[in-house]
Order: sequence, then C-alpha cells, then structure tokens
Amino acid sequence: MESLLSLFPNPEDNFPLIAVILGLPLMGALINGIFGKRLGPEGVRTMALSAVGGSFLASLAAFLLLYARVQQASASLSEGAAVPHVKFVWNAWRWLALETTSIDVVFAIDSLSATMMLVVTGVGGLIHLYSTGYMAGDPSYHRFFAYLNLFIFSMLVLILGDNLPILFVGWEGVGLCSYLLIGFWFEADKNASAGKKAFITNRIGDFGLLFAMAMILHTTGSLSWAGIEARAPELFNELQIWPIGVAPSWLPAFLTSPVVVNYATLIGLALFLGCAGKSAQIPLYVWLPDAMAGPTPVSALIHAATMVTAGVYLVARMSFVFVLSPTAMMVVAGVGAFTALFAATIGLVQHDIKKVLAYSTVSQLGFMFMGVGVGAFASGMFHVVTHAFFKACLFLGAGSVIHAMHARIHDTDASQDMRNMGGLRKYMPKTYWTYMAATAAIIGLPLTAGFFSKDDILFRAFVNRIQPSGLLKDLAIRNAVQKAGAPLSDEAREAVVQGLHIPEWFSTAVFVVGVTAAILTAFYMLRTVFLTFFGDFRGWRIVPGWKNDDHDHDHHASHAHDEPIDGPVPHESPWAMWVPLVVLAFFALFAGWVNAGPFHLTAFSHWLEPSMQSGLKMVTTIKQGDELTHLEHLLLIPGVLAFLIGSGAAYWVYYVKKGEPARQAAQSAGGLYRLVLDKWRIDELYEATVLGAFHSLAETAALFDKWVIDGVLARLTTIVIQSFGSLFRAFQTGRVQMYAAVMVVGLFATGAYLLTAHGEVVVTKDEAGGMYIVEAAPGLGYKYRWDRDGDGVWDNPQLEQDETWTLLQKVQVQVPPGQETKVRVEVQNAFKMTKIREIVLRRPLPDKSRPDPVGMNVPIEVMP
Amino acid sequence: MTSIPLEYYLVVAAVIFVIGACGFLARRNALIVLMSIELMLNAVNLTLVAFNRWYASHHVGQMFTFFIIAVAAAEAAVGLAIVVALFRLKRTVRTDSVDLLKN
Amino acid sequence: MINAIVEQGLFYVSALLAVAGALGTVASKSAIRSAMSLLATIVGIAGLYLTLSAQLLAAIQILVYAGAIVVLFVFVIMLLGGQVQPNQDKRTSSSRAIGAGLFALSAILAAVLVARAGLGGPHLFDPPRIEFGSVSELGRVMFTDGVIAFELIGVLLTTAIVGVMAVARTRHAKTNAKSKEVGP
Repeated sequence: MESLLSLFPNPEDNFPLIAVILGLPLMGALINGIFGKRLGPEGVRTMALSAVGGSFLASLAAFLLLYARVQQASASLSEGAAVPHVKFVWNAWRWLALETTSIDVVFAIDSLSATMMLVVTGVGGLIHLYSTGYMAGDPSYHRFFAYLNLFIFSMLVLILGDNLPILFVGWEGVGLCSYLLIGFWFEADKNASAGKKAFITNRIGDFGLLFAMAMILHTTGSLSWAGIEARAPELFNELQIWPIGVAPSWLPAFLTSPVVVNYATLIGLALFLGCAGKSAQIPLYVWLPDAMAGPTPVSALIHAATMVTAGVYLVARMSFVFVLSPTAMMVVAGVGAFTALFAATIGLVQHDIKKVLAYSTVSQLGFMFMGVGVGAFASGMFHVVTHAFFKACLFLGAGSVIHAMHARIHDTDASQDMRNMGGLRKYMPKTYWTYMAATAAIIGLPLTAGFFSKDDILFRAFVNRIQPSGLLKDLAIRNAVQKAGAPLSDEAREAVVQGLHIPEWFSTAVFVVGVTAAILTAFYMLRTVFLTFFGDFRGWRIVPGWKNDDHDHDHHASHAHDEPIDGPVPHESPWAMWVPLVVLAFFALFAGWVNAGPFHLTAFSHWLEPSMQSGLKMVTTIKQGDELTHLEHLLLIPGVLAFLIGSGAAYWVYYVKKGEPARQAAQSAGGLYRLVLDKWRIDELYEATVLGAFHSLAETAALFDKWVIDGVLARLTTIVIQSFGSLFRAFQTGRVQMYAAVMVVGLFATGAYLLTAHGEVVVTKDEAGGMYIVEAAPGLGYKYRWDRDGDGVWDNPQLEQDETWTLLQKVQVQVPPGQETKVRVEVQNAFKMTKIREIVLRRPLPDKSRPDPVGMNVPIEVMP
Repeated sequence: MTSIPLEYYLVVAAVIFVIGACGFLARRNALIVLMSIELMLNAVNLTLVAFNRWYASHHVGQMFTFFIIAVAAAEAAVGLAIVVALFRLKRTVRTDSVDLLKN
Repeated sequence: MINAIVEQGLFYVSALLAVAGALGTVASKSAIRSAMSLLATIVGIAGLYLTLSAQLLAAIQILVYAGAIVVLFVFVIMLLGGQVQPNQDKRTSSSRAIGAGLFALSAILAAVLVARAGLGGPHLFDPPRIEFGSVSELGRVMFTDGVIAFELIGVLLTTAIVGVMAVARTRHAKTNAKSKEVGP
C-alpha cells in the first residue's frame, strides 16, 4: 500500500493506473483480433487471460488504494459526519470543447465504480478462464477472445467514464460486443437474427439515453457527474411538452390543454428507457432470452453478470437526478417489480436450461431495479454484485452441463433441453455441487449471498420513502406559485408537497410482488436442479442426429426406462471449467456477509454511500433506530417463507412426484400453459403491432421509391445525363485536331469578351453627406468619360485640354436631399469598343418619423 | 529604314498566323499539320521582332525569338519522329485515321 | 530616299513571299509542295527580319529553318515516299463549309483586332542605333541576361535528340509484331 501510494502520490488528481486497467483488455483485443490466427490457440489463450488478469490485478490495487484513502479521509472526521466522496481521476485528453462546457475523455474511480470494476474484471477473468476450456477447438477461437477482451474494455469504459458521453461510448461498445458475441456462430440464421434483435432493441433504449443526455446538457450545461450534480436543482424547472408551439384552433380543447412536467421526470424516464433497453426490463426485455443463442460463457459474462447490470449502475450513478422526480422513481420500482414477477412466470415452464436462466436473469434484474427504484441504491448494487456471482456460476454450470451433453447429443437445442438430462449428479459431481451452491444463493437459502441481497431489497422496498428535502419542496412550491400566478394558501402548499410523495400503497404492492416473485424463483430454480441432476439420465435414447419432432411437452419421465443405446457417457468438464465454478460458488455462498443487514454488517452500504450522498439525502425510512431493526428482523419471515414455499413445492412436484403434478396442471390448464410456454406471446404481440406498423410504413416507402424515385426522378436524371453524354461524346473523337478546334472556340469566346467594353458600375453610398461614389468596371486599356451632372455634355476634368477621355475610374457625385441626379459614363476598351451606362441617383428626404439625426437609415435608391 | 510602320508587320504576322491555324485545323496530312505549326511559330516570331524594333533600347524580343527558333527545331524533330513511328504502325500519316485517344 | 525605296521594296516582296508561301503550305495537295512553300515563307520572314534590323536572326532563320527543319521535312517525305496515300478526304461538304467559314471569320476578326487596336495611328520606327540587332550586341545579351535560358535550350535540344531516337528507331521483328497488334 505504501509503495502504491508512493507510485501515485496524488491519485485524486491524476491516476494513470486507470490507463493500465483499460489498456490491457484493449491491447488483448487488438492483438487477438489482428494476429490471433497466427498466434494459435495457445498464444490467444495466454494473451486473453493475461490481459484480463493484469487488468484485474490493477483493479485490485486501485481498489485497495481507494479503500486506504477513504479510511484516511474518514479517520479524521467527527462522529456521524458524512464520509467524503473520494475519487481517483485520470484525465486522458480533451474530446471536444463546447461553447459553455467541454467534454473530456476522463475516467474516475470512486467507491461505486471501483466495486463494479472489481466485479467486471474478476468475474470476467474467471469466465475467460472457463472459456478457454469451453471454446477449445472452435475454429474462431481467436475471434471469440478478441471480442471478449473488447467487451471487458468497453464495460470498463462504461463504468469508469466520468461523464455521460464517455459512459455512452462504453454503453455502445458493450452493445456492439454483445451483438458480435450473440451472433458469434453466425452461420446459423437463428443466432444472427438473435444478435440483430438485441442490437435493434437496444437502439430504442439508446435513443432514450441520448435524449436524456441532450436534455441534461440543455438544463444543467454540463455532462460530467460532478457538473450535473452541482446544478441538479435546475432539473426541477418545468417544461410544457404539449402542445408543441401554438396549438391549431380546430383541435378540441382536451387535446390542447397544456401538459407540464419537470425536467427531472422527463430525464429520469428517458434514462430509464435506456436502462430498460440495456438491462432487459419490460417492455424491452425481449432480446435477452434470444441472446442465449451466443456461447454460454457469453451468456454468463455479458447477459447475466455485467452488461445487463449497466442499467442498474446508471440509475445508481444518476441517483441525484432520479430522486428529484418521484414519478420516475415510481416507474423504475414499478417496472422492476412487475418485470421480476412476469419473467419468473415464464421461467416456470421453459424446457431449455439456458432459457430458464435467461428469464431468471430478467427477473433478478427486476429485483435490482425494484431496489434502486425505492431509493435503496446500495441494496440494488449489492444485488448486482451477488447476482454476478451466482448467476455467472449458474450459467457456467449450465454450460458445463451442455458441454457434457454435447458428448452425447450434437444438437444445440437438444443438448440444452432439460427433458434430455437427468441424473447428471453422478457424472459431474463438481458441476453439481457448484450449481447447487449458486441455486441456494438465488433462491434465498438463509445466510447465502442471494438471501441477504434479496431480503435487503424487499426490506427497503417496504420501509423506504422518497422524502422531498427542503430544496425540493421549495422548488415545487415555486413552480406552483409561478403556475398560479399568485401566492398560495397554506392548504395549497401542503397539497403541493403531498403531491411529491409516492402513495403509501405503492411500497406494500412492490413488497408483495417481490415476495411472490421470490417464491416463483425458488420453484423454477429447483425445477432446473431436479430435472438436470436428479432422477435417471434421459439422454440414453438420444442418438446423434436426433430431432425434437414430437411436441408432447411432458414426456420426460415416461421413457426413463427405455433400453439404453450405446454411446459416450456424460463426463466432468476439464479443470479450466470447474475451477471458475468453484470460485464463483464460494462467493455465491459467502459474499453476502459484507452487507448482512440483519446481523448489523453494513460495510458494503457504507462503502457506497459517498458516491450517492446527494441522492440518499432524499430517502428516509418509515421507522428509525431500534424500531427499524426490529422491522428488519420481522421482514425476514416473508423472505424465508418464500424460500420454503417455493423450494418445498418444487421438491414435492419434481422430486417426490417426478413431475406428475406439473403434467396434470399443464393438461388441465392447457391454454394458459401454452400461453406461458410461448412467453405470453409478447414477441408475437410486438410482431403484430410495432413490426407490423413498420412494415406498412416500409411498404409505403417502397412504393414511393419504386414509382417516384425510380420511376420519375431516376429516369429524368438518366435522360439528362444521357443527352449531355451523347452531346459531349461527339467531341471526343480521339483526333487531336478536333480538340484543337475546341480550343479555338474557347479562344474566340475569350476574344469576344476582351473585345466588348464592360460598363458595369458600383455605387457606394456615403449617406450622411449625401455623397455617392460611382465606380466603373476596371479593365486592360480602359478609358472613361463621365457626365456627372446629367446635362448631356461630357465633363472635362482637364480644363486646359480638349480631351474628355480620362483614366478616371471612380467619381464622386454630390446629391442634395430630395433630389436626383443622372450620371452617365462611357467606357472604351483597348480596341476602341465603347459602352454607355446611365444611372439615376436619388437621395430621399430624411424620414422625420424615425429618430435618425444623421440620416443613416435613409434608404438610397439607385435606378439603372 | 523607317518608312514601314509597325502595324504592317503585325498585319502580315496576323495573316500568316491565321493561315497556319486554319491549316492546322483543316489539313489531314500530319506533315502539313506540322508545317502549319511552323507557320504559326514564325508569325509569332515576326511579331516579337517587330515589337523589339519598336522598343529598340533592348534585345529581349530578339532573344526570345532565338529561343523560339530553337524550340521549334526540337519540336519539328520530335514531331517528325512521331510521324515516322505512326507511319510504321498504321501505314498512314492521315490524322483522321489516328484516333487512339478515343479507345 | 533610295533607302526608303529599297526598304519598301524589300518589305513588300518579303511580305508577299511569306503570305503566298503560307497559303501554298496550307493549300497544296502534295506534301513536297507544302514543304517548298514553307521554304518560301521562311525566306520571306527572313527578309522581314532584315527590314527590322535583325540581321543575326535573319541568318539564323535561314540556317535553322531552311537549312535544318525544311530539309528534315523533305527528308521524311522522301522516307515515306510513295507510300503516302494521296489526299482521300472523307470530310463532307458541310464540314468543309464550316472550315471555310471559320477561316473567313478568323481573318475578319484578326483584321478588326489589328485595325482597331488602340495604338493611336501608324507607328513609324525611329532610326535604330547602329549596333541594334548586331551579332555582338545580341550575343552579349544572350550570354548575360539569357544565359540560363540558353543553357536550358541546350538541355532541351539534347532531350529532343534522345527522344527522337527513342521514338523513331527501327524495332526488332518481335516488337514489330507486337506493335501491329495494337492497330485496328
């Protein structure tokens, strides 16, 4: 630590270690991407692992250093004072300078980003190690690791970026890597279109993020976290979003009544649209289950542990914006809760093990948004961390299972179908135990990591209230006064403040929905365990080339005693695959103790607090002190009950009764069952509405293109170009003399121009004095004669000679007010060609109605 | 020798130049085209020498004419060499049968 | 007086010779006649140089043009010999008419230009200095003011010689066959 401090004596201002953290994965990506083929798998593996490993070590060093600095800073504080927000900054370069602000490429590490950074590089490193085993033998081995390293780099840019544009660069970068990796096996049409679906769905969210960025720049004039935070009260200004401009009078009154929102709500909702896209929340969650088409390590890294939590990170990062708008907070928490429940229902019936995990991820992300939406930013982030451990472990375990199944079944879909598994506990014990550990965490087995984080969220959802602080109240009342145009009565002020509160029933509803989702989680997760690892192996009767052509969804137990067919036996995965599993399983079980609320261990929350101080200021709880602790212990009961009910039901249905009750339920509620199996047919709904609308729009545009663009415009262009072409082609005879003849024509044109005398004049006005300067066109050998007084006789400036031709190119004419003068000039060129030009200068009387003492505004007319 | 005005020389030069230009454009025999170029060069030379006679304090015009004659000699040599090479290639010196530039 | 008559006589004869030669160069059907007419023009212009007190240039004109360039033309005409096809003009009468019209137009334009040029009446020359146009005087100018151009002319002529040899040298049979393929 001392040596680190001596290396970076002043990390708050300049911390170039960030360059190492960011640079290593980028370098790995470039080297693997460019030279990967020549390096061979061995070199690619070394490169990729050392890049991420080095980045992890640097991150760890940075984390420890940050921890030390925070300890130093808080040691000298008095009891109860807020811990200062320690932040290590590396200002790389200035990206662009705007008139009011500048956007720098600047990265920063504070407690929030340091935590995320450790998760990304740590879990990312483990998944890299796992991938070296999982992807072994793939022809595009180097491409895979180039993408994976690039993803780590982009994700770090997203996390470490100290302003919104840099975050957005990372945001788009991870989106790109996600797209590339989902479609990694792009030969299959299904994978390529899953990648496209993810990319396009994310674009909708990115639109929201861009929109929010523009509005933040508009209101606060800054895009960096500190800059936005400093001027966050500006966001409470109001904006009329409807009608835009002046509404036409023929619209009915209810359409023209003005809709006024404050910027915070607008920005909060726009940001959340971005988060919903990236973190797969309703209504943009549809891409994530399809994203499972990518290799399983990708699903673990990008679509479970890191990238999809970027939305949660953004909400936590922008907490000071969200808390300004109770509406936005309500939307975040509400959507999160509903997504948690909704995705869990779909997860109940899926057969594909990765699909179950995917819907589980969507559901868990809903939990996280539920947490940050009720103002429990630390709880939400804590669930991000624990979820990264157990969900990565689950996905990698599933990958290990699929890897084993592949030995038997060379079919992507069939090898992931749980109906073909069973009894794998015997063949792959390490996978089984780690999978069990991660499952225990996700279903909330008491004292595991998932138990603490999930219960923290549920508890916070119940007790947290967004409490408008003094400033927020003042601003709301100011807005109301402005709207009313008069001072408000006391009751009216009270009503305005009450309007800022989130209704009481909302917290209870979120809590109930959360507990329900937790029950479902326990059920479907144990279902995967029992179907995969218990009972007898059902893959015996699967021969190579097997096709899932019968649609009897519940046949899994009925053929369990069929004659086995000879073939390879499922086997445990190599060490590179099970070592990460063990590490992740360890953390899934024990990481919860860093923030075990019921045991008064709140290190994690305290650690994150400085990063979210101004957001947390607005959040209070319904009870304080001992009462709060008491309530926390009381609220453990629903959590534990949810675990017991869910897992008990799954044990009874799938272990004791071998799935018989599930079959019966599916038969008795056939329609509903199929609806859920088809994921509530949301994809079909989008297909019919959104895509249908776009298709008809596209068809209209295609018709326009066909008839107007191609039919008229293109043909017209062709005709014009063709006619000019044939005209010019006539000159291109290839004979030198033809070209010379054209030159002669040009010579004639030049000669004609030189022969003509050019009589253009320019009049300059000196308005105050009534003086006009008339300047004739200059030219080689030009002579001029002037008639300045309009008497029809050429002036003779040289009195002693009888010669009116002069070299005088410019003359002055004095015109009295209200009068006009005719001026003539004759121009003669070197070939004695002449041209006479006549102009009338008219000076109007000064306009008395305007305060214009010198007559500067008087228009001067010049008549040719 | 002062009885002929400058204009006379210029008129003669102009006439020769235009004749040369017309020959250059109208004739199809490459040799005669080259000769027309010589005519034009000579016309220009005459103009230069005549003007130099008018501004007799220096010899710039005559010097320039000297150089033009040298350039004309070089040009005639190269031009004739091209004509010979062309004749070898196409067995003709008619310029209208030479349109390699077109393809 | 006698001087004036001699001078005028020399001028008119030379001018006539030059213009007539020019017309002959452009108008004759056969190349050899054109070359002879060109010779007449060159001699005429040399005469005009004499009336302009440019004795050295007159000599050079005869030497270089008559002695080298025209001879070169004649030599090439001889080289190509009877193989030069007679005038088979494929041009239509309309294009001939256009050509004639252009000729007339340019002649008129040139006359107008010269006649109207604002030089202010006929410009008669002053009697020249005795050394004007002499070999020594011109030589001095050429080797002082114009020495760089003079040297460059040397380079140009060398280049031209090399170029001529490169373009016109006889190819070997192999290259000949190749060059025939290029033709139509």
